[in-house]
Amino acid sequence: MDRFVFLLATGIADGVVFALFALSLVLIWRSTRIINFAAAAMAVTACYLALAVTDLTGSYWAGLIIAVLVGGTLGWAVERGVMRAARDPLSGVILAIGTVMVLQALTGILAGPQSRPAPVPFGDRPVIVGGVPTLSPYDLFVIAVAVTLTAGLHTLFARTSLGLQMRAAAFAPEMSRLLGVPVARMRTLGWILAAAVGALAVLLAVPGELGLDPHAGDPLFVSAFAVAVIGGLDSAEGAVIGGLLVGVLVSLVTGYLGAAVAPLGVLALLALVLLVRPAGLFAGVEARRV
Amino acid sequence: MATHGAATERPVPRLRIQGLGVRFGGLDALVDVGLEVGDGEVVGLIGPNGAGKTTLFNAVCALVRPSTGTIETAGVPAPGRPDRLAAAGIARTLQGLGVLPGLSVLENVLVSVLDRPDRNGRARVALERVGLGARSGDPVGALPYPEQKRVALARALATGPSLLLLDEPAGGLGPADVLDLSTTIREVAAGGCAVLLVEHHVDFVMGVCDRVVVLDFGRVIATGRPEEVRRDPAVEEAYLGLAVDR
Repeated sequence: MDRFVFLLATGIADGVVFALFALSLVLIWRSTRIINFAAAAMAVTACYLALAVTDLTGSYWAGLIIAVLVGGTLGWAVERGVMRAARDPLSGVILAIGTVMVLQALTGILAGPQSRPAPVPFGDRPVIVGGVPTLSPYDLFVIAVAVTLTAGLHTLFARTSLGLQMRAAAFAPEMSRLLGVPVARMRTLGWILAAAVGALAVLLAVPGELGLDPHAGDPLFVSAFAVAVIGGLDSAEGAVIGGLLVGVLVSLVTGYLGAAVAPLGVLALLALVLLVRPAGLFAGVEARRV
Repeated sequence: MATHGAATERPVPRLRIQGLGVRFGGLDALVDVGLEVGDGEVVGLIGPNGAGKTTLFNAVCALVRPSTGTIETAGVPAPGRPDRLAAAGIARTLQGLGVLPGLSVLENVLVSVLDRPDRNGRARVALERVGLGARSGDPVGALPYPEQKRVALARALATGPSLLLLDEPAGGLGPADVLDLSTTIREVAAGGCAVLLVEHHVDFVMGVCDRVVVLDFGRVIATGRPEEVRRDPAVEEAYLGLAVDR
């Protein structure tokens, strides 16, 4: 039982990061119908600059702010400079893959292929409660950031004029334009938000992985992509709940059956969801509820 | 054929279209089209499928670029960008449902008045006006088809337009809903709004409109009061006879 509690707790900590990154994919899919295959490379690039600032200033928090700012700026630049050339979803995917190659090559040239450790602002050793190892202070920090960010995004979309315009532009761009919604600006804003969230997710995930290298975001992208498909690519709620589901599944399978089996567990869940609800667990729910 | 009315002594019309032409590749979708809609007037635009009715709406809304002619609203050129229509007092509904899926009934209306003071109040008044005040919190997709069309109308009315363009507002509606729609349109016009509507429902058009303009193959073939247009042999041949046949 103790082992189960520990695995559940670490699964939730991993899951919130999956959820954040999946949210970043969902934000862009909803507004442009493009899977942003460049999300991980953009986030890793932002994290390199964030760690450089942390090295320079000695402050983790300065680095965190830079990750968000650079992530957002990269989102703006990629949307304006690259993605506007996309004529359809397929060309969008090709442009995104091209962006991945450019960014990974650039970070590889400038920072080298070797992995570098990332600092943590709090201890990363699990706290022992009643003899059972549970979450570390860093895990709690990650969960707090993810919950705050998700609540903030929910408030933005559900309670503000800006969020309403972003949703309207995403659901029906032509009609929204007729209603005076600046659709292109809303789309750019969606990319900025998504890329900032993605950069933060990678920055939070890196200390738990082997460190930062040009490909450090790839495994997170794969997991988050599975999460987004499981939850429903249109659904922010699906991203959050799917993230927790996949995080806990990976943790339990790793703990009981071994790390090598974990990807198979995710694949099995993905296949099951695609068979039962091809559009994802929460597809259409948001469209009906709001 | 009915004649155009003299406009020399009338105030500047809310919408004035002169010599409008729209070409799609080698096809003339509109040729030398002229029409006017005054404040408080309801004008119907009818014609067979492909006559150019929606293209004319799209030209007014800056969704297609005219090859010739001018479009003026209250004596000034109509906005050149669709996102400036609302600021110019122009509201439009679309063919079909024209609602924003994924948003609630209230949000569907709110989105058109976000820059206005008391936007919530405006949106709720517009929803009350079309009889949907009690459904404002519902997801728009949960409403039956006729009520979704009312949401689209409420969204247009919430802006307090001076020119209202309605694209097939009666399409898919039953007799009771068509009657309600006619009443609402007459009320809106009585408040001074100019209304231009495209519709296939001939009885509805003849009942609600002050004047009717008939398009065929992109050209105006008749314009006048409903009873004049109904008796016009060219119109009967081009459109009304076909409508009766159908």
